[in-house]
Amino acid sequence: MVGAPFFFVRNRSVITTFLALSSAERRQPVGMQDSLGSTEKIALDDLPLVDLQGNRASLSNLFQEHLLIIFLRHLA
Amino acid sequence: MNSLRTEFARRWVVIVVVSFAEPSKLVRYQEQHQWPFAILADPERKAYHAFNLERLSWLQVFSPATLMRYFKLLREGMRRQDYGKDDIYQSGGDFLLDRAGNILFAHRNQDPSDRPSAVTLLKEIDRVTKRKDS
Repeated sequence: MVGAPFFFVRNRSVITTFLALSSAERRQPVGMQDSLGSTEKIALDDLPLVDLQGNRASLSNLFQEHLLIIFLRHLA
Repeated sequence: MNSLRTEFARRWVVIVVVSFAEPSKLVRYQEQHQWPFAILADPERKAYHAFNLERLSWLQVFSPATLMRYFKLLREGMRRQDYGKDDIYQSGGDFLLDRAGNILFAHRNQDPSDRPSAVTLLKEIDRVTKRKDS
């Protein structure tokens, strides 16, 4: 039970609901826990991500101005 | 399209979801939920490691905050879907990146209840992009 995402979050937008699924929301501003800036950099196209068909996916191709990547915990 | 999704799009932010589940599991997951985001698989967890998303400890996973949150959600009628056995100790996180791959902000979950709301994410996007532009 613990760690499981939950469904049917009522009266929320799709995005809010989605964020609540992989875990629950927390009322703490993002970024407090990780002080960033230009110190962390990722080689986007070196990541071996695949799409749902198993084909190699490039994060660079998904960009507009910025990319928000949400890493899930386990599915449930 | 709901208003929050529009808010992300208005800021030229594309949302991508990454899971360490196998693509075949994600197909079933997406069939069930029809999330309007790109969903990618990282079964080897190399992306998780690149973003320093480690496995949580038992104490983090079963923290009082997590138990309270899930108890509340269960009372509200949440139901769990079964996608097979998975690693409940793997942490998740939320990251905003620019085209160069710079991480403009990061939030690494400290326990399963530790996830920012969409509104909080929008505020952070405004804050870091303003800082970057100035």
